[in-house]
Amino acid sequence: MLGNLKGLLVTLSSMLRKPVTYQYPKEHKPIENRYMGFPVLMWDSQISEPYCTGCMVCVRYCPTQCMTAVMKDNPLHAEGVSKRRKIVDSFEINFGRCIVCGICVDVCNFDAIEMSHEHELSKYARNDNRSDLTRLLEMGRKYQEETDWKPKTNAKESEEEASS
Amino acid sequence: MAEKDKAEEAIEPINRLDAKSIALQAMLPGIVSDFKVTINTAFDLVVVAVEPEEIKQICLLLRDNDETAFDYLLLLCVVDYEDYLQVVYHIYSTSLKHTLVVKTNVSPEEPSLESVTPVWKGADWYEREAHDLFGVSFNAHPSLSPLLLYEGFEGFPGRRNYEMPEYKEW
Amino acid sequence: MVDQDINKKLDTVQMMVNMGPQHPSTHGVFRMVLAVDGERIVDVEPHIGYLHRGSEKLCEGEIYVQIVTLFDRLDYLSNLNNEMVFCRAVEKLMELEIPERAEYIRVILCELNRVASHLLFIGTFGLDVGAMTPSMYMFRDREKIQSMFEAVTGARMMHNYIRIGGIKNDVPDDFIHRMKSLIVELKKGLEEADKLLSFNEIFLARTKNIGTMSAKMAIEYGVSGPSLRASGVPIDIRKDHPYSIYDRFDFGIPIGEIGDCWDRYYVRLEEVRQSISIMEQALYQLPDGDTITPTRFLLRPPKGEVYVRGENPRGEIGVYMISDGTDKPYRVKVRPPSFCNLMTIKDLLIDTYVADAVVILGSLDIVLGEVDR
Ligand code: SF4
Ligand code: SF4
Repeated sequence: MLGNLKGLLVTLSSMLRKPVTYQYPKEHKPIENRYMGFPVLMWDSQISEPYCTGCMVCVRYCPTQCMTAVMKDNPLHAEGVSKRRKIVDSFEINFGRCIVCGICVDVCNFDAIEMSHEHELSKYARNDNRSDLTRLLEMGRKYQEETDWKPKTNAKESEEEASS
Repeated sequence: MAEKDKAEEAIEPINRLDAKSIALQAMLPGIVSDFKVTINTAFDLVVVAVEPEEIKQICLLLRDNDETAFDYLLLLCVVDYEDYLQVVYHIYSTSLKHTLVVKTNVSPEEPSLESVTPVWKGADWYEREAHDLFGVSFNAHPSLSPLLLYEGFEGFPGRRNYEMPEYKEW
Repeated sequence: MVDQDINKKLDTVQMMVNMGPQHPSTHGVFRMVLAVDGERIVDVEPHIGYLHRGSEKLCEGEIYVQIVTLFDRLDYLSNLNNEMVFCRAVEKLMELEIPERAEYIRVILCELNRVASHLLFIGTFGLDVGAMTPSMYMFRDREKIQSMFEAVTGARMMHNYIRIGGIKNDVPDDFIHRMKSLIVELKKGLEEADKLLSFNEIFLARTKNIGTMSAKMAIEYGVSGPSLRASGVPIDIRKDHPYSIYDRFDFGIPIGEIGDCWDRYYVRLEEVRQSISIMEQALYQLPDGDTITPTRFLLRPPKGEVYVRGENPRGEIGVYMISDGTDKPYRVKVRPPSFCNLMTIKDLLIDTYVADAVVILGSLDIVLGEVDR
């Protein structure tokens, strides 16, 4: 009997507490800074081209093999605007397979890929989350604006090395 | 042959034994003197390689002897070395707190071994799993029905030569 | 005539009841075929494997850094503990030194993970015996831990945070501050659970002397973790074979008396208290310094084999790893604690009532992702 009453007291006392539920679709739980959503590509707004050179390092190390990348010669490099000799031609991540592990971000030498805060990607068809370069960059730009993203400085040298 | 070399060298002793294992290594030969065994070390554990026919007697002996008292089966697993399958028993003593590795080799064609379920009941599902994935059959096991795989599964997916079905992305 | 009818012995027929795989109280996709005689269970046939993903086989085809992500998904309620045991296996083989700070952060997060897992157990166990409230309260508290993980590791469940050689990145600046307030809240939440459930008469009636596991039986089956300690066997890898920096903390090993469902529940509840005390000590001692020993991305540990043991919330997890000197392991085998604990289900269930089956299964606290691997 006593145990029951004790339990009842606990439930009664919690009536006075502030509610903790987030009414999800209307109200979102705030996202932490480090939150790892799906990986997206970053946009270099100074030269207006993606950071990604299509070097395929991330593709090789992705544990689920959910990405593909193709490299091409950078036209802006020929004009002397950009330092990148090669640039990404096409890039695809299948978010349906991505397990959000962050390995691609760790291995990329160019700061080209970043874990965004994107997590609500419900779609009607199974294949609708195959994201191509345009969509990835668009999501990336949204993330850059949101968080005031800056490339890490040490990336500059390795860039020159790898593209030569 | 190259594979075999690789396998053999994998057991090459790097000696990082702690005090308990050293004591165990010293007293083991006296205990298992009736059997044909080789005592080795692997990193920080003592390894006893035994003949497949004698596995159950040795396990019983190791469990019931007061000096060893291995009453707890940590892990039973099968390693496929292509030329032979190695069944590895990690056993532990809850009273004396030392660990021992018992190994035995069986041939990959129709491998069969005496079950250790009478020694440690906990070997039950491990053996069923090994039967599923590696095709090692354990004699005198209560029931070797498939555990992790479904009934009628073809092949032994744990083995290294198992052909993975092609995964097609749509 | 009526009298005769009443006195005639009724014939009973054994009935097969299929419980699971989609059953709310099997905690995943676990199926039992129960042979019941009235309300009494006479035979049990457990079926597992619905979640078999071949993790161990997959490990053979992936490089060491990628395997950490696979270990996350074994026991999806104690991801950090799993990551830690695998990383320790590789580190042991390579004889890597881990920076102090990384060790401390690992321990803090692992204990936090243990608390989260046990809180979930208390909640769902309450549900199993028919108490709705604890599950709500415990989820509320667990949510705070998940937010903490999100702030530190970036993910709520699949962290990939503990890396070979240390941890991914240092904790955020307000970590200690947030942890301290979190611990205060957790303590409060735990007291609530204790008052709500532990000595509630209905709860006691449902769990006392139900599903008793003797120490002998537990050891024979290789049961580990809280379920073993509930039977009165004080075995805890953190104490018996201290790994990482567990030997620097002062904590107790709660043990039960007879190993019934209530003991298994209460041992876990006590363990949360111990974990909280470990966290407090670790936060107090937390040193400054590096967080990772830099290693090559394509690790090639030397040839050899190791067996590493660690204490998961569910029991003793072990990793047996054979390296052949290349960038992929030759064989990885996990000792899954839930797998061994679940093995006892047949012996525990026979001669109990159907309603108790749910309670006994719940008290073992299994995670099917790990049972099936
Ligand atoms: S590693 Fe970086 S630069 Fe290379 S393809 Fe991937 S995202 Fe692009
Ligand atoms: S987050 Fe992981 S799974 Fe996803 S694309 Fe990057 S490496 Fe692949």
